[in-house]
Amino acid sequence: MSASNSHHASSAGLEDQKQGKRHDLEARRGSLLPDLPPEILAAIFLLIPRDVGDTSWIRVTHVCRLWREVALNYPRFWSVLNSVPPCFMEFALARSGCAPISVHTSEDTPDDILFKVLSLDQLQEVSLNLTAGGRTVLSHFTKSFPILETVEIFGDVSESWFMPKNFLSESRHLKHLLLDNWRSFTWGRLPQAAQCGTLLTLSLNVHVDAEDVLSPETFLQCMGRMPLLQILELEYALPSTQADFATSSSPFQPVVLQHLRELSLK
Amino acid sequence: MVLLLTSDNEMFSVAEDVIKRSAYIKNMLEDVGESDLPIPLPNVESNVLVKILEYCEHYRGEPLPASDVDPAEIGDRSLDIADWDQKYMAVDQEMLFEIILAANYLDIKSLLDVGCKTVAKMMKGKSSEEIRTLFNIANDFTPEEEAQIRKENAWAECR
Repeated sequence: MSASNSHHASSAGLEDQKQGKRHDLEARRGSLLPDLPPEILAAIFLLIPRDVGDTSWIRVTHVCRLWREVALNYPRFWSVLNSVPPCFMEFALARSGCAPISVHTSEDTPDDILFKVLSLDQLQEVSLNLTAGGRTVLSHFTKSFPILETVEIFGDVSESWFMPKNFLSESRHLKHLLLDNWRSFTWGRLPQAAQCGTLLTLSLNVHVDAEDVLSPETFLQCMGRMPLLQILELEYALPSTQADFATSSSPFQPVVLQHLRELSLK
Repeated sequence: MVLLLTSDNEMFSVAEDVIKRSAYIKNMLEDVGESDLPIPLPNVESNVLVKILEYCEHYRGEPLPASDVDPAEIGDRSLDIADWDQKYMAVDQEMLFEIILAANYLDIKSLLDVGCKTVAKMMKGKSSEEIRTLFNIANDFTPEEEAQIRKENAWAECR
């Protein structure tokens, strides 16, 4: 490049820079919001509602460069996903950094998409809609989820699923467990999920596996592992015949749930 | 009484239990103890402080929130705002953002929470262009950034 060309190029560069600065100034002139500190802007962004299937909250990242920069540098903004399309889920999770993830899936979310892109270390809250099938997803819940606190799984009563061995046994901070519309529920495997005694909510709308004879001992063993339980909802979760309870001759030790404030049995 | 000196040199004499809703002032009073000297507030103008004091006066006697809360963790995630707070926040945009900045500076969590919710409510359901118009923000994206944004919009819409 000749000296004059080089000079021309650097002048053009300067002109571009000036243009860019002018652009920035114009963007801020008369606008009040960009003066807010990034942490306040980020807090506002996080408050924008995220209804089921709604992705309109991403629009704040399309307003101006400053807002986009704030959102891109704020992992938590990308970590609450409420039934968003699969490709959007991948895109958002990639930006979620190390933030704890809260994910709700819809029936048209492919089974494994979540676990393909998600770091298990990050998952804090998961609500899966498996009404369109998805029993393979359940096998993932035998893995270790170090910060997982909430699991909600909505199934389809016409599908027969089996609770995998070691279901949620490596989720040592589990607080809320909801299983809805499950067939072939197995009480015997529940203590694994509750073995750390951290459960606050247990909500089961399930059909107990015909071969799973619920003995009083098993039931009380389960309850005894949930000393912090605050909400207990059991719908169809107890066997229809209570013969074992009625005829058992051995005395049972009562389980005290001193924190229980909501009880619903159907 | 506590003396406060605003950025435009106006002096305010305020009851201690009113202004203690500000964690910043509360901590300062605890650290310094009683003093006749005014506390300078170089980031707050008198018209904004009047508004802030109206809020503190209204909530006088109510329990103070925990002080070690991240701004992103403030309050609950719903956009519910109490009736009185909604009326209080019915101000022009300039004052609204001055209140938010002052609440942040003075460390009044509940007021900051209400301010952020008010702004989030204003943005709810609006397109990027509508938000720009609402807050008088220019679109300063480069063509490359615009292309990326179009791609993101497509991902957000695809099912």
